[in-house]
Amino acid sequence: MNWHVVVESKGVLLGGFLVTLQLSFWAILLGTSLGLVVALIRTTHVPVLSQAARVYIDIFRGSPLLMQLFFVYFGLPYLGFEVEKWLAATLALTLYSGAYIAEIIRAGMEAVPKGHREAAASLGLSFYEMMRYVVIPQTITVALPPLIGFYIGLVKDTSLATIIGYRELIRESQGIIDRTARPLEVYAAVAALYFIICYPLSVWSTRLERRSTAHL
Amino acid sequence: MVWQGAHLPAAASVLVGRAGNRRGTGAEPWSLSPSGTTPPRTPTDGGITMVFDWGAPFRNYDLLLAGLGVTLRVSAIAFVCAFAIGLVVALARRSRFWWLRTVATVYVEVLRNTPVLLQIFVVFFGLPSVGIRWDAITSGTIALALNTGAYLAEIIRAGIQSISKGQIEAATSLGLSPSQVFQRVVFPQALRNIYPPVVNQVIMVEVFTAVTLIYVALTATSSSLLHLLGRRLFPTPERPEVGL
Repeated sequence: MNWHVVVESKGVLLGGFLVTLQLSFWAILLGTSLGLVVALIRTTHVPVLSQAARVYIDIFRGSPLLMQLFFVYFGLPYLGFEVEKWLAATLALTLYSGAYIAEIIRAGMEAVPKGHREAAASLGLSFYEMMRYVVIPQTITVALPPLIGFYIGLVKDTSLATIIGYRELIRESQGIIDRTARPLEVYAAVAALYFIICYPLSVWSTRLERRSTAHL
Repeated sequence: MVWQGAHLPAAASVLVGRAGNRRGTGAEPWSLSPSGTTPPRTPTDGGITMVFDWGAPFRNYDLLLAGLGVTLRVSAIAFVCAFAIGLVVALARRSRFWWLRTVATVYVEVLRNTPVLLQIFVVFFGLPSVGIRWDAITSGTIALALNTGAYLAEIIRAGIQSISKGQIEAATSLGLSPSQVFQRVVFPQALRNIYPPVVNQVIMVEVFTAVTLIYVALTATSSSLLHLLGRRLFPTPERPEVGL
């Protein structure tokens, strides 16, 4: 083991780490917004839109993220859209996570008893007020643990962006390995960096899960 | 558009991200067609108008089916190994010995909190530097089994914990030995409880196999499938066209 290699290239590794963090951040933010909108459309049963939402969810949950990345990065240019690597990665991860998050949020919304909605309606709350004060706060308690679990997966899935050549953590580490020929040390460092992001999240998720099932 | 024999290696290197140029080399995975029949393409100013060639997957169906066979085989082997790993690790996490619990916990947490792609890399690119060398498919399967094993360990552990203590006490008071209690009372019920998440995991294995195979099999340029595809699409005097 020669840790000198890792120390020497820590600047490059940290750069890749920041890119991974950034990509995860945008994927989580945009994916959650998209997922929320799609879940609302799914639960309100708007005629054509809710079927479209369902098709979207089925397609993106039923195909590998890798294929989605390929379609966005290699496919869109043929339809006339030039996509940069960062945009392709963010777009593919957003579409992918939107579909999963929509299902998580929908499950959370359906866990809110129907009586609560009826009570809110009979109290004269508007649809927005009912969502804002009755349904969504309860949804969050139910959906948060699986949501964080999914975020952990998403952070790890950002590593797939390396396949389209996006210079995130894994791609940068490949470069270091090509130069130094010390794969195990560099991979160990990369694993540690991912672990730093994911482990606190997974501890948090477990704790939330325990808390939300404690009163049952 | 001239279809050149050099374009297949280009396709492979685009997939692993070494080559920069992804347009103009003809490296479109969906427009592969037998040599001679150039698919219609309509270049326009400033961009490329794409014409779908849905015949390509059908003309090369045997190669795709062969790929499907590899996917199914890899995921089946990986899943069986993963289940064995998961069971052993789940039991180790409930062991009396603290060191065994620690090892199992570290295994589960590390494998669950790092990307599967990285794990595949460690097995395929990392281990050869300490003298452990497997071919592409084997390394992919091993990495996949290790990764899924960690998830299954947690699922199985949850399943075991879901069995109420009273049942274990009742079985013990009926004179069953600890191993009998586990085999006949706890495990069968745990298996029933964990059925849905386990099936979920089977799907994840299937999906990860795509990652594994594309990454590892394409990276290993010796992949026979690629060679056959290359020979069929771009037959040269040195590489005559062959069937599968």
